[in-house]
Amino acid sequence: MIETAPFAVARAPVDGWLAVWPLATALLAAGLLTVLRERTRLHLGLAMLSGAAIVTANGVLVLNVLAQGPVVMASGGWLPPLGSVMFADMTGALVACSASLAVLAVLPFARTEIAPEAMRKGFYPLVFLLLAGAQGVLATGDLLTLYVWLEVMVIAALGLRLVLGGITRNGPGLAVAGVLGSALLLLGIGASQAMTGTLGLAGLAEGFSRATPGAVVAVAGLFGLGLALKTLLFIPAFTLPAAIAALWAGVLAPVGIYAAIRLFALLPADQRVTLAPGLTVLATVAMVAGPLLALVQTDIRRALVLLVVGAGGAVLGGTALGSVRGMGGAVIHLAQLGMVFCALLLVAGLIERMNGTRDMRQMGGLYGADIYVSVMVLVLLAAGAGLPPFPGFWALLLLAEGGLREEAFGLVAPMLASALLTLVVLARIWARTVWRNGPEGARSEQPNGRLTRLSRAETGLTLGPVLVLTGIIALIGFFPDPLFSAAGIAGFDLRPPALAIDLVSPGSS
Amino acid sequence: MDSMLAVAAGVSFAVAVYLLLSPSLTRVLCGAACLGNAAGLALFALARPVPPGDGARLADPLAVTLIFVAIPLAIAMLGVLAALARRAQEAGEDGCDDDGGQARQRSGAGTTGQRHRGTGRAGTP
Repeated sequence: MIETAPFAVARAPVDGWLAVWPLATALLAAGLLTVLRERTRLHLGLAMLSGAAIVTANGVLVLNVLAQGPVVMASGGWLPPLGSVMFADMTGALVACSASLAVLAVLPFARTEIAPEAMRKGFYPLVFLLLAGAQGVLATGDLLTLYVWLEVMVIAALGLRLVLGGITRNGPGLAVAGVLGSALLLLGIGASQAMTGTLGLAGLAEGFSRATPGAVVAVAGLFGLGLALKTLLFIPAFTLPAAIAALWAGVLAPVGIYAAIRLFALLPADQRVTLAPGLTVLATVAMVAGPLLALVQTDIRRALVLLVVGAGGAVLGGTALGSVRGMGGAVIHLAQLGMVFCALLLVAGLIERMNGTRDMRQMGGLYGADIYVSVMVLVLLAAGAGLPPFPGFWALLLLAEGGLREEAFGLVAPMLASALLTLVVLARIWARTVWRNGPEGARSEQPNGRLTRLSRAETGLTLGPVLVLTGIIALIGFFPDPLFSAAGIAGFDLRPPALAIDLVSPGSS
Repeated sequence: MDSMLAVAAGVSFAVAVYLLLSPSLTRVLCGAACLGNAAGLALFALARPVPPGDGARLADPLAVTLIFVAIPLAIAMLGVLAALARRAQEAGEDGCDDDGGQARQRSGAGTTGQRHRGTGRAGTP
């Protein structure tokens, strides 16, 4: 495939525009919804329509990348180092597809959960701005725009926080951590520009291979620290409405991890080897600590957020492996975990709503009360734990195989332990909320008096989208062949020197 | 000139971090504003002059672009931060009023300072 990839800007322009469509649609939707923010009755329909259009655009993008390779568009025909290039390779397209599907599921759910006042203040426009930022990060070909879209995403997320109200002392404090993070990211970008003379990903990858290793490690440290500080912003996500937590798991977390993978992929092979041990340690800590901490939580959502941390650790571990299988497994793991945990958090929000409490010790008896929610919980728990028919299993299989081939047993062991712990945590949630009759303690055999049933309208708006999302996840899992070929392409493209980077570089052919 | 820029950036960073660590939200906001400027100065100091070695030194256009893009983003972030801080103060959970004196001296910030002081005093006697 790499031989048949000449300089891609010369390709038909229609192809190139595909990389911009999802971003443009999201921005358009945000603008339109802002204009119509008083007409709350129109919001949901308009938002669903735009969301469906973005999902379709991303789906077409994935199919296109699968068939023809990365899609590149240089605006105005200006090429790097001066022009700014949009491009989508398999990694970006897959994560974009998953993120937009997650948003599509959150949109109707939010309708039943977010106060009408917040809706009038612009809840939906901000969700679309968030998605636009995510799409921008996923489709950018240079570091400057990556930074800009990352900031757009973060500012939109903070805007959502503002619109929802109920801000405590921690709100500004954690936002300050985000500001510090963006200053560090900016410094890292400036330093890489000073080292290589360009901001385009292609030129950077080339420049880094000639730069002093110490300087590159310093820049990588700045990027890592900056991104880590930015993630701090979202620690309180699980105390917010479930729709926001689902947005965190479905959009913000995957896109942040994607940015880390993308930056890591810029490094030449020898410097990846230098940085891999650090990344491995980070990944191992996340993989083990996340599920272990989740095990002792009494709050479902907090447990799920910690499981996302563990799954993110597995993705970073695959990236640290650096082989085609490791990288490819990491990419499909990242794409599926966004969708799965978004759906899980939405269902967790439903369980909390039906029980009228957030304390898992007070829950129980869901199996008798609502069979549909119960079955959905079971299916999603299997998907979250990565049991065989679901895409998480195939991703873990690739990751484990990649690790064993590289003989990185120190990475494979915590990965498998993490998967097992995740299964235990999720099974525990199932047992406590669905399987047992009543609350913890002496009355656990008696029916749970707190349970309320969902109204018909609520069921349609909440369970419907989760059902569709779960169906898509299951469908992907039942036909793993395209998934494997997508993983192969993504992993191949992220190897040093990356194919996508060759495409964007004017000098190489 | 380069060393001057580097020193200015360093001083701004120091001031910014000092202000960011303050418990008062108003000072934290000033620190965030300062941090954006410090990052811009540092970027300018980092940039290589083009053409390199020439007598007439021009600023690197890419670096300047980077700074110009960073400035509006920093302002946007500052706006959101200010809104968050305001909400936090309105919620009465701020609990610190050690900036009251400075805020009142400026005429523009007078009303906010008064308001802040009012809620703050209630929390911390």
